[in-house]
Amino acid sequence: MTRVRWVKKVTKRYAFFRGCFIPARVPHIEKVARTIMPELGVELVDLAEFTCCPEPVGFSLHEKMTWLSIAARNISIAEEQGLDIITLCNGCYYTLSHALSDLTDEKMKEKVNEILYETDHEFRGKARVKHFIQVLKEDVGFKKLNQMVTNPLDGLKIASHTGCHFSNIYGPNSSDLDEMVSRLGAESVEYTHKNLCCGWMLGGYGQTEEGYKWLKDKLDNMKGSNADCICVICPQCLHQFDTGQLTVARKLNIPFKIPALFYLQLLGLSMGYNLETVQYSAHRVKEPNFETKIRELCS
Amino acid sequence: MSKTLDLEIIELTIDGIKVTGRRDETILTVAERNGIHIPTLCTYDKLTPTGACRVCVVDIGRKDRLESACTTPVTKGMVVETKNERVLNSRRTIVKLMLDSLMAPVESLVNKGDNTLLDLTYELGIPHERETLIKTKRNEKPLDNRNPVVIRDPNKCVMCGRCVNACNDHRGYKVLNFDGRGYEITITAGANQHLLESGCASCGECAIVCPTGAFSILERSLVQEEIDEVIKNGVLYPATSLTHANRKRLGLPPLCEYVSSDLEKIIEKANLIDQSEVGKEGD
Repeated sequence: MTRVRWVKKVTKRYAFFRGCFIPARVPHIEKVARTIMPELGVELVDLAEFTCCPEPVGFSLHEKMTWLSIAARNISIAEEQGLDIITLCNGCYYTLSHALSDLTDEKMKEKVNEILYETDHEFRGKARVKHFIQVLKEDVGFKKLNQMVTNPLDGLKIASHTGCHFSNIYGPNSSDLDEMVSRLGAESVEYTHKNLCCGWMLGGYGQTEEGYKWLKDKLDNMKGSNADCICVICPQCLHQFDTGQLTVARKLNIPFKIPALFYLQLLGLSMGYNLETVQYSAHRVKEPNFETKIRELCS
Repeated sequence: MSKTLDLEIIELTIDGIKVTGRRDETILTVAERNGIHIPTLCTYDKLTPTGACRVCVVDIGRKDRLESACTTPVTKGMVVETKNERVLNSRRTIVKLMLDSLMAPVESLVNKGDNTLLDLTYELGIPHERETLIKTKRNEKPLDNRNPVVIRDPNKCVMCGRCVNACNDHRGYKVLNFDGRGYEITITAGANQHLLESGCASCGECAIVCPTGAFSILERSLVQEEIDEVIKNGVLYPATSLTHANRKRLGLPPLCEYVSSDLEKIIEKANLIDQSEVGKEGD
């Protein structure tokens, strides 16, 4: 009889807040999350009524009450099921967590509930919101992660990028993501301008060129640190570092080739999945050297 | 001071009215609770008061100085005057000095929803056209508009410190700070960089709290489409036919179309509430 390694069964259920970018533009990330999270003891519950979080920058500045009320509606939907929320996106995390903190003010809460009255939802403030990286750290825990990492990514150099809308929680230094990366057995390299923006947001407000300048700066620094790949925890950053990288390389005629991977994909690789299962094929920037390295590590 | 002492109710007089307050409260808090208005500039609801601007000065009977109401705690038997000639003169001088140090016309000091400095000139009866107290001018500084979300015009800044407070304490990004001393003091982003390069996360909090419009947010026209899209479809990035094909290939649950009218109801009602509040302020 073979001995089965002891792994604790389902520990926590979460309302899965996909947001709008992941399911529409980078669905492979959703696929990876749905594969990996249950293995770590996190059950993702789909709730059909969720809408856009909504978008954290322009929307919140011009339509503050609407923004707050829509966020409160989303939170209340999870609340009605008695669930906390897990997000895979920095933007969703930013909106929902800032809404929660704004709504600790009783007056604001009353006002929002007055707006929500006709929608048959009520915000009570019982549900919590967590980014998946927090769930991995706080709920799954390092003990379990160490157990699951059966295939450490030894010798892999990873340039981590936390992203603007999550970094304010752990301070501007992305040391927290660095720690999570080193838990996978890889080396998290240092590079200049680590905590700066990927430039995605600028593209959204008509300054795409300026955004690409930003991306180029980041990529230059990452290349300088000899990183094998980039690790991100936000789908917009992923899109910028993947598809954006291709555009920048073409426009400026610089052969950038640093594959960008979502943290969950790297976690999957370290858990013994192969490149195909973590949906590497859906990426635009592929680097043969990186693929060889991973195949060697996986064999 | 022990906790029990903090909670002790004490009596004091503000403008001849007998009021009560706790030892840990400031003159401003007690006055506002009792319906006595003291004009303020650097104070903002969710920020810690710093007493930087000196607009809220009040007379507590000291010959040598006036005290700022937003930072001075109340004491037993205190006699506060908020509207005598000494106080009013001091406030007017302070606001005049602020206006003189600006390199922008007074009428341009407007920000979305917060025009505190402009309102103060009306409240204190300071004409916009007058002889200036400060003869030397600051150098005109360039507009920083490379970040589309937050636009910065240093020429409108009165160094009240609301933005620094909001960036450091309220949001925790620690990007904005003071630089230089005395008359040469300025607000800097990062290591004296453009906002775009400074590590600013474009949260817009500085623009929300700014009382003069030195920080302002992006044009509404840039986000109108975004807002409409969310209200109409429930999502900002709608699914394309490629999305559906990709999801099917990956074996993911199909994306349902958004059918509820909740969001329309929300924006309608939120706008009604906003408008009624603007109406109240105008009365």
